[in-house]
Order: sequence, then structure tokens, then C-alpha cells
Amino acid sequence: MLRRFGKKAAEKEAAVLPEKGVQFDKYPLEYALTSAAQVVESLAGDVFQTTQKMRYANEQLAGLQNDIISLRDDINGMDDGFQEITAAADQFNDVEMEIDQSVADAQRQMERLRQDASSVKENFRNMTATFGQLQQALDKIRNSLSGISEVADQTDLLSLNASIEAARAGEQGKGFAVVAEEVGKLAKMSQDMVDGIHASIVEVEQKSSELNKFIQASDEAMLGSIRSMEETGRYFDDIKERASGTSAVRDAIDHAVEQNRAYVKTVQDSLTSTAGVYGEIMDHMDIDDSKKGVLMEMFEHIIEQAVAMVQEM
Amino acid sequence: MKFTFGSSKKGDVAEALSGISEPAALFFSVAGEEMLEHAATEIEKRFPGVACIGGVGQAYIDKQFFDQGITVTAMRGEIKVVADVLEQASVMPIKYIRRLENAVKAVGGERGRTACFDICSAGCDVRAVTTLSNYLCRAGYDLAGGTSNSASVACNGKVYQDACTFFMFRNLKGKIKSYKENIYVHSDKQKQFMVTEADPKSYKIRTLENVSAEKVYTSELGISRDKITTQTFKNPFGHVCDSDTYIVSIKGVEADGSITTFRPANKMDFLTILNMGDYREVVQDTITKIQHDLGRASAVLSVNCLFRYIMFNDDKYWDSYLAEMSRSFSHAGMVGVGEHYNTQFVNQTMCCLAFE
Repeated sequence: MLRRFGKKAAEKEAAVLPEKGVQFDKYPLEYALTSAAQVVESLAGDVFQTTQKMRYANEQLAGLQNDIISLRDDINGMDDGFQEITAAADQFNDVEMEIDQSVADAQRQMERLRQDASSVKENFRNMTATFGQLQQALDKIRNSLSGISEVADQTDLLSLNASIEAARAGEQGKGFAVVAEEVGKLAKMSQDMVDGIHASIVEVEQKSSELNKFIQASDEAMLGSIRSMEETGRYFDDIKERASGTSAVRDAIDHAVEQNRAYVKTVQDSLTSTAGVYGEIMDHMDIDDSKKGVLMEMFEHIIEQAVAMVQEM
Repeated sequence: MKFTFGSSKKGDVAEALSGISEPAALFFSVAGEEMLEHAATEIEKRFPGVACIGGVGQAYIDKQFFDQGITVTAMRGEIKVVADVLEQASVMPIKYIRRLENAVKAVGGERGRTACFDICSAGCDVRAVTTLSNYLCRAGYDLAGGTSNSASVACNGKVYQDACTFFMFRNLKGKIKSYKENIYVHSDKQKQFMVTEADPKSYKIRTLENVSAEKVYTSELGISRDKITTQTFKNPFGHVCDSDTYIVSIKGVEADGSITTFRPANKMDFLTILNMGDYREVVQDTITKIQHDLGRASAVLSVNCLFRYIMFNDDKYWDSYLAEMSRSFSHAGMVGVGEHYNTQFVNQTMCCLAFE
């Protein structure tokens, strides 16, 4: 265990501490001034380092200024490129409008085609009905012909009987008269049937005529459809042609984009280089200012104490 | 080193000293300034020549807390210790620099094993710490300490006004190291504001980055002017220096938008606004760090800020804090109104010397 700093030492110190007008202990003042000088030296060291860093940064910034001017030119080039892209894009708008117009025309034409096709469909429906009626007329003819065949058979039989009777009683004409009457009746019947066939044929002719008209109408409708389709085809050709115009615009845009990509690469390289230089500057500019306040505070307090001691002398 | 202690709620010095024998040094604190001289004189009579310093404030040793009468902490063990005082501490403590130098010589100053613990009169921290640290840091000795809640401090049986009294320790069996514990945090991305206008003598920060300090502080935290004073418990300023941050407590706000503080800020200082951290974790980290650095710490002599004490007490943590600290080592100290850590006078902090 050590006792506190002894009383003898305190007495010794008290002996050197001044009364007014008595010899002053210079040591604390010397100590204060030496300490202040050391703080100043430390501050000066900081200032020197800061100055060195500032000079380095200044040199680097000067180089950077030239890089930035170059960068500005590159960016101007990019601006031209963007104007080209804008112009190409405007052309694209025109082409787009033309295509829109062509598509609208094609749509109108397709509507007409749809109407024509409807008309053809209606005509064919009529044709089907007419052919049904024609079938009925032919059935009637077939029935009439069947009747004629029956009559012919009867007439043939009667003719045979008449021949037999004529042969047996050729001298007696009575029987022949009866046969003759019957043959007359059959002839009348045959005539009626022929009339019926005639009427049926007339009917067939009329229906055929109507059918012909329907077919003509269908033909015309189909022709209209073909024309519409041809026209539609032309519209689509037109669209195709106009669409092919967009590839030229796209080529122009591609060109402008490619050109700008080159500018961007240049700018990127330039910025990377600039960032590197900034990084170096930042590394060099990593100045710790936080200590300066403390050192200045310390300096101020030491000097103020020195002043107080001098004033006390 | 080991601590023993004695206390008397009545302020009876004899009672407080009754259990103490053969101390290497004595550190005492009294509840009121009027008790200081009597205590200093009586202790000197009882243990003449034993290094002794004292101040005004609450005291603690291990798990116990004392806010009445007198508390005396006795230090024993393989240490050399000298107590002395720098007078005229607010004006020219440097005039007494020989005392500091002689104290170092007397203990046989040795880097890593020598350190200073100071208690100074309220209001003279800046110049006292500047003077102490100017010498100690160059010599390679740590400093920890704090401020008495009075204009007077005691040293070796005498009471001094406007003074900075100190122990100079040399640990004969190991290291001594200073620590500070900051329970506030700030991120690297957090803004730092340069003090652009300040009046350090009146502890006034006028502008930060050329904007009134009040406006910066209130707009950063989104609070009104009337909340500034109480907000310091949550968001004190932090003085960024080197890679460390030192707390600056806010005292009040002036009509011109200046903020007054309990520690002066200087032009060109960098301040940040701190946030409350997880103080339980911070305390554990401090204990771990001390144990890691010193292997086995035997004793810790500390000063805890009055604001920390109030806040911990309000959070019902103060007793747990003392228990946590005493679990790892013998822990004694006092509640101060300012703390000292190497080159810095700080607020809302715990500063200590840890003995291996």
C-alpha cells in the first residue's frame, strides 16, 4: 500500500507556487505552451494531410473535367440518335394509320362477302324446294304413263277380241260394232291421258324455267362473292404491302438504336472511368474532421489556461 | 483489488468507517454538500495519509444503493494509489500539472497498469478533462471519472471548491482499463450534422448545418419544441469523434432556437441524433468485454450518469443493473452529473476503471 502523494511534496509545491509579486513557477506555463504547441503540431499535421489530399483531389478533378466534356459530346451524340428514333417512330405512326385504313376497308369488304354468301344460301334453299315440286310433277307423268300402258293393254285385248269376232261372224256385223264402240271409249281415255301428260310436261317446263332463274341468280350471287373475295384479296395485298413498309421503319429504328447503344457504351465506359476517379478521390478525401474540433477545443482550453496563468503573474 | 464498504444513513462517519480496516484508498460520497467537509476531515482523522477522494451524489456498491447520509468504499489489494487535486479547475487546472505528474511518478506509472479516476466539481469538467487527458493520453494512461453533484470535492481530508480530485492507480497484479457504456445507438447511414455555430462557454448549440438546432432536432424526430427537454432520455445528441460516439444531453431550448446541453459542443463538431438501444444487451456486452479484455476482472470503479439512474430506476431496472454488474466483479461507484472517459467529457453514460 502506498500512502498518498506526500505532504512534503505538497509543501514543496506550495513553496514554488507564487504569491503575487513572488517568483512564479514557470513550469505549468511551459507545460501549457508545450502542450499547446503539440496540439498545434497535431492540428498542423492534420491540415497538411488534408492539403495533400485536396491537392490530389484537385488534380484528379481537373482530369475529370475533361472526361466530363467528352462525356457531354457523347451525350449530345445520343441526343441526335434519339431524334432519329423519334423521326422513325413518327413514320411508324403514319404506316400504322395506313394499315388501319386498309384493315377497315377489308372489314367492309368482308361484310359485303358475308351478305353475298347469305344470298347464295337463300337461292339454294329455293332451288331445293323447286326440285321437290319437279319430283312431284314427274311422279304424275309416271302415273299417267302407267295408265296409258294399261289402256294400250286393254285396247290390244279388245282388238284381239274384235279380230276373233270378226273372224267368227264376219257376216254378222253386230259384234264388231260393239267392239268398235269399246275401242272408241279406250281411245277417248288415251286422249285424256295424253292431255294429262301434256299438262304435266308444261308444268315441268315452267318449273325448269323457274329453276333456271334461281340458278342464274345463284350464279350472279356467286359471281358477286368471287368479286368481293378478289377485292378483299387485293385489300389484304395492300395491307401486306403497307406492312412491309414497317420493316423499313423498323430498320431505321434498329439503326438508330444500334448507334445509340454505341453511344451508351461510350458513356458507360466514361462513367465507369469517372466513378473510378471519384472513388480514388473519395479514398484520398477520407478526411477525419471529427478530431479537429476536439484538438481545437483542447488547444483553446490550454491557451486560455496559459493566458490565465500569465495574468496571474 | 477488492471493495469493502460502510455507510450511515444519518451521515455518521464513524459508523460508516466502523467495518473498514487497512484500506489502500477510500472513495466516499455524501448525500449533501454540507456533509462533505465533516466527512473528509473525519475520514482523514481515522485513516491519516490514506489516499481519499469524495464527492456529492448517490453511491452504490455491488447490489446495494445508497442515497442518504454517507457511503465509504474502501479499496484493498495489490495496488499503489495516490490521491491529489487540480485546483482552479474551471480556469487553470494546468497550473497544478506537477501534481498529476508526481502522482504518476509516485505510483510508478506503467502503461496498461496505470490509470486515473477523477471526481470534479460541477461545471469544471471540460477544462479538467482537457488537462488530465492531455497529459494522460500522451503518457498512455486511461482516464475514467465523473462529476460531483456539487461545487466542492474532497481530497485527503480537505474540501476544495472548483477542483478536480483524482486517484492515480497502479495495479501491481494486472491491467487497468477504462470503459464507457453508451446505451444509445446510431446507424452508419444516420445523418451527421456539423455544428456550424455554437457557444461552448454557455453550452449552447446555435445551428447545425446552418439551420437552427431546435429546427433540426424537432424536424428529424417529428416532435414539437416543448418535447425537446424530455426527449433527451430517448434521443440525446451523439458527438461523433474518430470511430466513437459520445453522448451530449439536452438541457433546454432557447428563444432563438439554440439548444443548450450538459456538455459543450464546438464549432466543427459532428453530431448525430441517437436512439435508445437495448440497454440490457448493452450492459451484458460491457461485462463481456471487460471479462474478455482483462481475463478476470476483480473490481470495477464507475460513475453512472444521474439521467441513466433515473431512467433505469423508472424502468425498474436499476436494481437488476447493479445485480448484473456485481455478478461478474466487485462493483462500486457513484451517480454523477457528468462522466469522463479518456479525452471526453460525456453525458448519460457509465464510465469506469476495471481492474484485472
